[in-house]
Amino acid sequence: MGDNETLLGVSAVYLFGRSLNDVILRGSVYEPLGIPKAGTNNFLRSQLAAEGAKLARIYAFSFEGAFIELGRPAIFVVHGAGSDPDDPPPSDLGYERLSRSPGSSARTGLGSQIGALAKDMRVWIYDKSDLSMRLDAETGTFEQILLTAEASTDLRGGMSRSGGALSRSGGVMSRSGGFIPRRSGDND
Amino acid sequence: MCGDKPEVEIESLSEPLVVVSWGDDKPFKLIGRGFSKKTIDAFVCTNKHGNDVVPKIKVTIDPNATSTDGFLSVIAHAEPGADTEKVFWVAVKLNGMFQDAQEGLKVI
Repeated sequence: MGDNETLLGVSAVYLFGRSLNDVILRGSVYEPLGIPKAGTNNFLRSQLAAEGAKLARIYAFSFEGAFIELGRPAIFVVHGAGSDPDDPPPSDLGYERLSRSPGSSARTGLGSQIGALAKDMRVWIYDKSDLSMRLDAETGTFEQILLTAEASTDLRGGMSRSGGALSRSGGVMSRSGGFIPRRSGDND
Repeated sequence: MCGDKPEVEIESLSEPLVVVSWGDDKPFKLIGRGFSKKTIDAFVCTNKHGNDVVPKIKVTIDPNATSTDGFLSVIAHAEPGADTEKVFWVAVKLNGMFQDAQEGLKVI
């Protein structure tokens, strides 16, 4: 595999993580189950239905030479098994875990690397303009992840709804820190 | 093989037991000798003789990882429905001829 530097590297995003073993994406169901959509580009559908599409828990990414760890790992759609960011291994595989020198920058997007990536970490490389899907998972009791987030007791003793769809319009940027309850002060 | 020493030999797998989930890809390495030959194919079977190929588990040579004469980087992929009870053998062929096999791949 060539580790060449190209102009495309300028906009490459390197996702570091591990694929989920307990979830399988079945892109074949979109066609028969879905109502025909008017749009014709089908970017997201193509990404999810592509061969080898899977979900991976992403711990960090690199972009423009900077390594950035996610505040909380998030789940992204990726394709294939990814690559080993530490490749090549030493000729004696018995020393593989001890040889944690930086891999090729073609695999990490980094000019230098401090510390070592975990043993099973893989890297998937995309262009920053590629369409994808991010899932920020949240666990807890229904009270924590549903009731507190979506409704609260109003002064008359009934349940009032949160802002609903409009309050969700903030998009990914406002949620980058992870799960944020839609009504501040309710998450105690 | 008729008693001849095979040109490609698998001494071990890079993990004591390679575990592959349904629908997932599992990268691992075959360790041995003779892997620098260009016409090697890897596959999964149920015995050390390379018979009884398991069609629902594919092993492909990883094009994005380094391989040398001493080890071969491969990726196992198990289709949903693959047997989750048995421990399978990973085998190699050279020019279509069975060479060697090593036990130690399980599907979950």
